[in-house]
Amino acid sequence: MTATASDPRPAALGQREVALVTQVAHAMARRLWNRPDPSDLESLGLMVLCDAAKQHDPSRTAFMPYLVERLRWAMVSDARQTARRERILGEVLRAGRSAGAIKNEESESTEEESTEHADPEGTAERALVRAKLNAALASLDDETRMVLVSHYFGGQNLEDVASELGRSKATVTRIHHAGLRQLAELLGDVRASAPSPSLSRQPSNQRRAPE
Amino acid sequence: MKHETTDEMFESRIRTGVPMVRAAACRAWSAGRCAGELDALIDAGAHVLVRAATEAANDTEFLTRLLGELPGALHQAANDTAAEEERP
Repeated sequence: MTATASDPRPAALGQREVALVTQVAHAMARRLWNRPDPSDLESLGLMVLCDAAKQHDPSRTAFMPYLVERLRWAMVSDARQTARRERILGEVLRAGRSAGAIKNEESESTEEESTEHADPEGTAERALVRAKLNAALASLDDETRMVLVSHYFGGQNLEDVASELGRSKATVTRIHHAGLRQLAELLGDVRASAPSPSLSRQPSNQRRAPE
Repeated sequence: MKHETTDEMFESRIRTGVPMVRAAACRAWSAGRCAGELDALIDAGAHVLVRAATEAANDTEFLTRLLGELPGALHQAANDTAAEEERP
């Protein structure tokens, strides 16, 4: 850290201030509800320290108590902001997943978790179906698998998949139909005996995510 | 340079990035022959997304970071989840 002629205070920052930042960061990491990583708080604290050194007015208060207040305030604000952003992310992910096929898988999982104890056989059976589905997908050729996974799990429409693969929509539609037929053959025994997997649960227009 | 990412900017970036992350995770999962859990890849992508959305100074930097860091993170997550599945 270098000081300029007009602002000499940052040069005065030494081990004592940095140690205080570490100490406050660790204390706040224990106290904050979101249990942040102390090293993240320390990084934040060092930025606060630089700002505090520039903005501190020695005629009003001593530097160390001022620094502690600034650090605590910044760390609590950061925790609040993180909480708000986690909520936003959660909402966006939920909204996206509820519109796409991934949600079908997830809602099954949530359902499974809540009924896992009530219906362990059903849970095991669904896991088996899922494993068979994954194995069946793995046995398809790369392009067919990519089309089906992107469409059903990624919530992309066939037009987007086509542009990603550099193919025409008609070609991708043909690959899609052929892929579904192959999957149906591969999963024939599963479909006959097990609870219906998500791929065959809904008509395709309901599985797509909105644009 | 210090910058402030507002909640509105963050939300807008997340809304832009989530479909990109999901599509990239699906591509990576498919390229790995559907080994392991797709959700593990989406989570790894979401982690990159949140970091880029939080730290980028502007939307161009956000997209550059997201597109630059996503493949590596997904590749790593695909390897990890596939290894997890193979573990007895």
